[in-house]
Amino acid sequence: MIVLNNVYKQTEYGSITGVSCEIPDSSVTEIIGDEESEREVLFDLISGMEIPDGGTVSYSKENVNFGVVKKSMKLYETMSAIDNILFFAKIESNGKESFMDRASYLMHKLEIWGIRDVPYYKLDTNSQRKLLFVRALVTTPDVLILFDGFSGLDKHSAKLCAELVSEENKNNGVTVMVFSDKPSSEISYDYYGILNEGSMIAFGDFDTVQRVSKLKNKALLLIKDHKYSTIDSSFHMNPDGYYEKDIEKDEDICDIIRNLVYMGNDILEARVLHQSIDSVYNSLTGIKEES
Amino acid sequence: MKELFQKVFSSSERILIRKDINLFWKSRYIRTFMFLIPVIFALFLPVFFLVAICLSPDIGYDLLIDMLPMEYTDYTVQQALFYVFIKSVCPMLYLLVVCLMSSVGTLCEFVGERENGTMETLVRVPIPAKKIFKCKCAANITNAVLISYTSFLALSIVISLGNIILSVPFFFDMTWAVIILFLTPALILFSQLMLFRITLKEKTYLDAFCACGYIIIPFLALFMGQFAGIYTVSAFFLLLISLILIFTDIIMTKRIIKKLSPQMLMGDMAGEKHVN
Repeated sequence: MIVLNNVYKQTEYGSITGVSCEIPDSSVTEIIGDEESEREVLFDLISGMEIPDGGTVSYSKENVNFGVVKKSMKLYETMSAIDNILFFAKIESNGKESFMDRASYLMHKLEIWGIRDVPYYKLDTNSQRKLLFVRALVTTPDVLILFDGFSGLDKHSAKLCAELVSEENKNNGVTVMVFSDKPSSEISYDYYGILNEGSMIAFGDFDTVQRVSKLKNKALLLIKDHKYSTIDSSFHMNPDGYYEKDIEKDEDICDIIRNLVYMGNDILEARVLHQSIDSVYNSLTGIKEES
Repeated sequence: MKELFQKVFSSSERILIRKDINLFWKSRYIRTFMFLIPVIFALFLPVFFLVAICLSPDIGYDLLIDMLPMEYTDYTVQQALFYVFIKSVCPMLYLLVVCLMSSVGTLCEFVGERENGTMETLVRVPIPAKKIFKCKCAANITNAVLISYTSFLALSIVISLGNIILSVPFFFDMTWAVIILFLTPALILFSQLMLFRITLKEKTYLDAFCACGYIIIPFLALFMGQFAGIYTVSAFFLLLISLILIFTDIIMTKRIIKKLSPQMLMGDMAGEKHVN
């Protein structure tokens, strides 16, 4: 587990204040925050590159092995793809193990085994980015941190990388942390953290974050020949002709249907509209959603 | 030697050093520079001077001969010119090679990696920043020492040839012994540490390369002063400079190691946010 307790850090390029959260082992967490959210400071603190000025960052075990994928990271241009991977794996393991099989497995998974002998500078951007995933995963890290890791990848490559990350999380128990500037949908996340202007304004599973945002799920109803008099003012008609109503929990829709039917309405369609992480994030950070 | 290398450096450190040395020679521009500088300063210029001295006329150098120490006043013009060349110009040329090799190596190892984005990848591997710094220094020192001593060998051959042609006593004396044994290693480390500190704020090769001048100028001035006849650079004087440099190296190494952090290696002392 990674525990941040009231962490404060002031750097030359930004600061974070009072950040507290617990990231359980083998979980998948997304930390969302724009350029001004200072997520890079938080990223450096979690990955051990920076020491907090106040508060603590603690890990459940000593010598946590981090695998990092960041857009600005590059590999050695004159070395081949496989030489780059093996070089970093060797210095990480003090040259004790051979990582050829593991590198081969990961490169096959990302469909880049064919370019293993090609010098890094000759590779296209997609292959270079996919190699960073292999580099980060080849030593089976305890924590994999992706900082804008999927940006710049084409759809197919992003899908392959996301599948590999999910597989490593399930099979090897790798804790995954994704830092992104807007909610992403490549992986299914267990936890979300919303970072705004250096503060963690919400952290937890989706329900917790949604509760903090005060956004509610909606009951969505399509009523045949509706009688206006039987529908109270808490309903709101959307442009598609559906009636919407905020509900506390999913089961509440049953009571709504029962009441409407009791009042003589024919209900053609009824469903619960769950809030998305995009809506929750926008609501928490005060971003106006596009209609 | 191999056993000592294995004792001093761990397996991962040896891999890092090998990578740094290879990287150094795989870059076409660096390789060309590393080849051309010693060839120009330790081979071409001395040969050019030697030929020029041999072809120089015997008149118009009375003042120069008067400036020589008493025991050399019976020298011919060619011999006198060659003596001045050995005493003043050759050490300057050689130290220029030493300084440039160490400086360019440091630029390649630190600024080059920062500029290429590989330094960030390296510091994010779970190995201490001090270990990375130590390996980079070791790789650079190995390269600089190798090239400097090869340059000296080439320079020695040319000077010895001059000694034979012009019947001047063998050039190698205490001054040269101090230069080779003390000043060269001290200067290599000094240039490297000094440039590392200067380049903490320089993000590009060009900025950092301009900073090289700060290190080279004092050493050029040292021998230029002798060339102008202001003073004589003796073996003792050079030994004193070497000891000062060694002392400075020790203090600088301690200070850098104390403050060293991954951010420092990435050149974040400039206070700039990484550009994604």
